[in-house]
Amino acid sequence: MSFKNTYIGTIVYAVKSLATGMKVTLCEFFTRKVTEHYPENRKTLKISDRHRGVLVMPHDDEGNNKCIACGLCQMTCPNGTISITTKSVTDEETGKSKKVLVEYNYDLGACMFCQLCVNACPKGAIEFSNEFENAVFDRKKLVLKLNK
Amino acid sequence: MMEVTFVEIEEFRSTMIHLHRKGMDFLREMIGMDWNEEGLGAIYILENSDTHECTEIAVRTTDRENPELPSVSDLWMVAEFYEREVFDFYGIRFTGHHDLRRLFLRKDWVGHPLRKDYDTSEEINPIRMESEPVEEFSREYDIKDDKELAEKVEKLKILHYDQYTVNIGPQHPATHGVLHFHLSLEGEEVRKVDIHCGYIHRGIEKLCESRTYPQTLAFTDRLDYLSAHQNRHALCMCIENAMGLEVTERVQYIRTIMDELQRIDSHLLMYSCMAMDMGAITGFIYGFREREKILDIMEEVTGGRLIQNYNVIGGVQADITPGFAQKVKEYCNDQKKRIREYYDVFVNNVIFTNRAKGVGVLTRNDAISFGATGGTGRASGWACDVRKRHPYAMYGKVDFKEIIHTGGDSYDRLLVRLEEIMQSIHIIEQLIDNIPEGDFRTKTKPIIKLPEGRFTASVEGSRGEFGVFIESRGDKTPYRMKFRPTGLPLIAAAHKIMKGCKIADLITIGASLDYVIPDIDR
Amino acid sequence: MEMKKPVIKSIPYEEFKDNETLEALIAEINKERTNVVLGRLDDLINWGRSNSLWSLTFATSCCGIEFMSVGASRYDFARFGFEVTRNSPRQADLIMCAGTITHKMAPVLKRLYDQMAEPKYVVAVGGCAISGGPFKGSYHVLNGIDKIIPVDVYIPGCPPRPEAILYGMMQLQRKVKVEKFFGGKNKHQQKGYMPDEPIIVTNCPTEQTNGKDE
Repeated sequence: MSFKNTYIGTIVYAVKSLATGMKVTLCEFFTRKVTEHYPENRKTLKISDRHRGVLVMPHDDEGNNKCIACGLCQMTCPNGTISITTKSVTDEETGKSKKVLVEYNYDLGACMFCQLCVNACPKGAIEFSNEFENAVFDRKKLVLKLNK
Repeated sequence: MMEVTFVEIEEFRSTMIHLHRKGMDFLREMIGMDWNEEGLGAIYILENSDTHECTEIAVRTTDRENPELPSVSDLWMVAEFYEREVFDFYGIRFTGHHDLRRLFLRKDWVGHPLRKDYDTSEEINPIRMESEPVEEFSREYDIKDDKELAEKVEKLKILHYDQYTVNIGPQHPATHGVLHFHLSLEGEEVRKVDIHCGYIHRGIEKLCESRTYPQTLAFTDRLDYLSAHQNRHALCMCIENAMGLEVTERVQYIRTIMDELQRIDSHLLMYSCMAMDMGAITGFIYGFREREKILDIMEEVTGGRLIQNYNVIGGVQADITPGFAQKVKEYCNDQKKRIREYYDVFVNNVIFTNRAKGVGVLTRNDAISFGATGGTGRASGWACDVRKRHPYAMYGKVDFKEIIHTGGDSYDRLLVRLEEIMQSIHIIEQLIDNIPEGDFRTKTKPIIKLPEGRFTASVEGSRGEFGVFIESRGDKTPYRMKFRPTGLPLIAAAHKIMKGCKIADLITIGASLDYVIPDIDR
Repeated sequence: MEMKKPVIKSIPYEEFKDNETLEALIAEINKERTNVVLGRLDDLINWGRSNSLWSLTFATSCCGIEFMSVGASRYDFARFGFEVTRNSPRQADLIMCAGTITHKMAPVLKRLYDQMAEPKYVVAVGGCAISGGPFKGSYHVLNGIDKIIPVDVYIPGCPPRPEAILYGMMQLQRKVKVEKFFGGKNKHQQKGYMPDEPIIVTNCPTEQTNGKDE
């Protein structure tokens, strides 16, 4: 019978396996810690650019956006997160009427961040920003109006 | 495209017995269907575990009031659960099945949801705030002599109530989600286990029937969220094969590398949760520390830590970033050194070896009959890896070993997964330096319509074979979309292997089987 | 008497979202004046309570994995005092509902909430707990847990980052710091809570419609 299967042998091997484990944890005591100190590191925290935190409609310096009120984002959204109100405006010079955006409502509490709206937009008017600090006390505050 | 052979109800049972004797011992998938005027029925996909040859059989009945079909639960043990699921969703009664109860929905639910004429109004099924009524007996349906369906409600007690029954309830830290174990105990030993699922049943298959194909992609990430990438890969592959769309080689390389990274992530989590369940929280912390490094890499490329949204029809959402290859190589070198720590701290520890060796043995024949694929099947000696049986993406061209152990106990199941991490690193190292140039996304039409017919695709997910079945009638929404659950065969196997073990062993077995509940319940 | 503003180290008061709701809550709680001694004692007790909120282990689906990551070593929530998660509802301070709640799970959640002892808080983590999320149109999913229990903080995301969950917990800490422990009603606890009207923002598309014209 090998030493491992004797009574003393099992005790020796058991203690040895426990000691190996404790050696690993003791060495871990002296290594550098991986904890990220949020919120103390807020100013230097780097979040990946592609992270999807909230949908925004970027405006340029004069406050104009690129949305043409086509409604494609509303149609492709799988669960009704986006709701657009538009109105028809007649152009004085050419006499043609086109649609103009009045209000762009986006429900942050229902969005599943699937990017179908961003892919469908023909003008690139909406995009995801990586801002993640969005917790609120009131459900109604999660319905955002994206256009200015 | 899939060719399905329809058989008549009278010849169905003899055909199935004949196929079983011929060697078709693996029931891959059973899909309930509602073909409107043509009737209700089911499609069975069978495979021979030695020659890997597949057959598809279908059977249907035109009676919509009291549909009934013969049961095959004595030939393949997993059919017991698949038939309960089809009964739950379609109302088809399987004659000869000795425990026909609903599987996912409440006992007092009215109607069968996946039928095309199901009424979803809230008056019929409001939010019921009382607990479910507890059933003591189960039902078996039989054909009487004059061809009428009879209900046999009697001696088939689910649990022996003269013994001590205990609930390991839906809210519990060790059930890996919301699963309800109903046990009957004799002292410390478990006499019988009855598992209630459906606490996270979200009706994904019904939702898919009213969504366009790009909209259905987002659901696959949330089924088994630890093989999110692989699930989405399966669905994209199925739709692309059906459309006849070829993706570039760059996309194949990227998909394979991301699949393997996801597999390492999932196995690390399995190891961490097994350590936590057994009480070794140190193992949990170490596993999660390594997992965070993979999540950093994935977040930089895909934008998501858990739900990635990366594969789309025709390719991937965005190209890989310039520093990707460098970071992956650094991670692989680091992981190879760290894996020794897991063996030292947890796996070789005397307490764990005594608790896991010889516990919950699943034999090879049982594993095939239950269809328990993935690490569980490979630990029992069954070579069930889809990457070797039906290669896809780059798996036919890289060199890797399929890890097989023959013990079938919980210790082997953990060892299989830790060794698979090393194999995944080996695959990544062969591919990472040779990614070819090319387009990361092929253009598709804005509205995607599949041609008429039935299509299927499978991948090796982190937990087993994940399959997708689509039946299309030429519209832009699928007529029926079914996902093969990787966890339901494992739960079926758990009913058998948890009998006779102690309660502490039950936790070990549950942790080593490695199921994820939203994948079972869909 | 000036309004007492809750202080969180490292994030100035102005940079927090949704200060209006908090100020309305403070105004309502402080309608009557307080004794100086009791007021100071309240501050001490609230400081202790807000820095040791222990949550119940309750995670149903994907958001549960992010909850586990918050507890692991990189985004340690033990630094905030949420040291352990209690398994029994009798011993827990708050329930962090992470994941989808279905019709089968709803009575279980209500029973767990009822079993918890006062003072108790509810945090809805993730899109599914706030509004049903990706599964809003399903026949078996509850569209938001605020249909059956009152919610204190909503953390949006699918799933939210661990830092976003920590931010939500800091919002909860601010709410705990303004409460009155001795006497006075803090929030209206009705038996069988049901909101007056359901909060439906937009319905799921059953047919494809364009935007509404004014």
